[in-house]
Amino acid sequence: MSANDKHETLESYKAEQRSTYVRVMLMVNIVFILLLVTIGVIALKVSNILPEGQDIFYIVGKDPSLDITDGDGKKWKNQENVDIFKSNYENGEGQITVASQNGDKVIAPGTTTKYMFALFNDGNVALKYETDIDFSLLANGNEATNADEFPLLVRLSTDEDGGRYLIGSETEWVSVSKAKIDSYVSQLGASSYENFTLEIKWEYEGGNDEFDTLLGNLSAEGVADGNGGLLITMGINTVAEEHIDPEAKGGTMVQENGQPVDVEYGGTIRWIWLILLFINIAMIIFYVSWLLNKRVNKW
Amino acid sequence: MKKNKFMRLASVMLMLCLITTCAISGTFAKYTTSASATDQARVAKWGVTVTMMAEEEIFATQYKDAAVTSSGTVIGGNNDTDVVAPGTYGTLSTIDVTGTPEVTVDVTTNLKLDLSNWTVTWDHDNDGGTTPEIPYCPIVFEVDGVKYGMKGIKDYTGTLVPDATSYTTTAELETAVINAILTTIYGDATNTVAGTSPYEIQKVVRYTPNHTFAIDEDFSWEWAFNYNVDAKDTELGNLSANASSTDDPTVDFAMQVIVEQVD
Repeated sequence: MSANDKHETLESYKAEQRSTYVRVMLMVNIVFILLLVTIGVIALKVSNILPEGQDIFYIVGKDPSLDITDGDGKKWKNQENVDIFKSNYENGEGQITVASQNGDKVIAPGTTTKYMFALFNDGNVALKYETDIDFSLLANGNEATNADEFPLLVRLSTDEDGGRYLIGSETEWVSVSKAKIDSYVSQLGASSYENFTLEIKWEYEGGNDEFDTLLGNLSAEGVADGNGGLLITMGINTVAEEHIDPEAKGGTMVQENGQPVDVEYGGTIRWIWLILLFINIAMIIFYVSWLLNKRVNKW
Repeated sequence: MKKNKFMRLASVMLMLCLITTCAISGTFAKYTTSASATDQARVAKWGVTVTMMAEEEIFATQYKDAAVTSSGTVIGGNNDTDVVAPGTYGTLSTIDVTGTPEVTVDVTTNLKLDLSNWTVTWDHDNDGGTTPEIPYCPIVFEVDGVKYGMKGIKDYTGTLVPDATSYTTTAELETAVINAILTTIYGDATNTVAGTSPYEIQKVVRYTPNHTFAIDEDFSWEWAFNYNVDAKDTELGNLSANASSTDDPTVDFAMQVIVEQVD
């Protein structure tokens, strides 16, 4: 074999090897891209059937979170008792006009109480939330069927837009039976909060002294009999989920040094991923072009 | 060498792509959360009961001697008029207030005692007229075990009404009985105000939450059959029996107790 023949053979071998490597790399790239897409689709599908609040992968970048805290600094947990009612009430002159005998929280005609709580989205994506109120009446340990007749009035307001009423108004109170049907739906932007005030009132001059007296007597009899008397339960429920638009606005943004805080929900990570994807696509295009070029040159 | 560097670079980028894929795919998971807060309160106790004798039971249209079971010994001229007479007696009022409300309350007592037209007079101290004669009103009131009446009058046992609680005018007697009633309810008879018709006197006392009420009092009246002056009793009877009814001696008593929550 001549030197030229040997050189041609070597070059041919090298080209063949190169070609093999390129084919392998091309296959690997295609497989990985397909794998990438497949994992994304699986994650989407699986997330729809997971129990609430769980993610199958650690979320980096996107960090949704909601905290609810009341005016006493107590964080809400499911069905946890907070201090909406009191055991003593004072009138406008600071005199105690209602006082529990045994330390129970009580309510009576002429009492008004306020409960303040705040929803804080301390995550970096917007949330959509729904808040509602529920109420029940227990008479001597049994649920009363006429709970809707209980003469309790409520108002719910927020400090958004300088203060507005969600239930009732500045001059109007709503019966608790009606308030528990309505719910309030809104959205909270990332790093934003909204303050709420729930006011509860039993009117002193409610127009039905006989009924008020009956309720007081029933409670006294129940306590004397050891049945607990007339008990009311008030609950506030909030359900939140990610907003379809992570950058939706709502509530008051947290400020630092007078400026809204920066919020990022993983855009950087997404960009890196996209760049890598494009690089892979570019590599595939390059290899295909190289292959085609080689074929053409061969012809 | 060129191929190896390129391979390595490609491999590294692919690995990074895979790793970030794990992170990004997590963004497809939907975040949801819920929280709720509840509280319970008991309706504050009321449980106050006020029981009083009905007004129509203070005086009667007829009275019986305890020994006579089938007929009355004193019967009014017509059956609609309550009457008093020698030998009659009755309960002026009973009051029973109980309960321990968990709210601030005002206890309001409205009273009226009116002794009108007791114009028959007598020399109560038998001094022959040295001291002026005083109205002859033989009604004796008993409040909290103490008898109240006009000077010189005796009760059904023949006991003189004590000097400290006997008076020379019916107005003083009225005031003394009213004050005695208020004192048994409240502990004193101060800070009274004019009542709203038909009542003449009103007293209001405020009690803080969880005050236990245990008022249980009886007030009575009597007109002794014996021991006083029969001739004067007769004069009173004649005064009532005459043609005019506007000069009839009368005893008018009214009492009201209200317990009300304060705002």
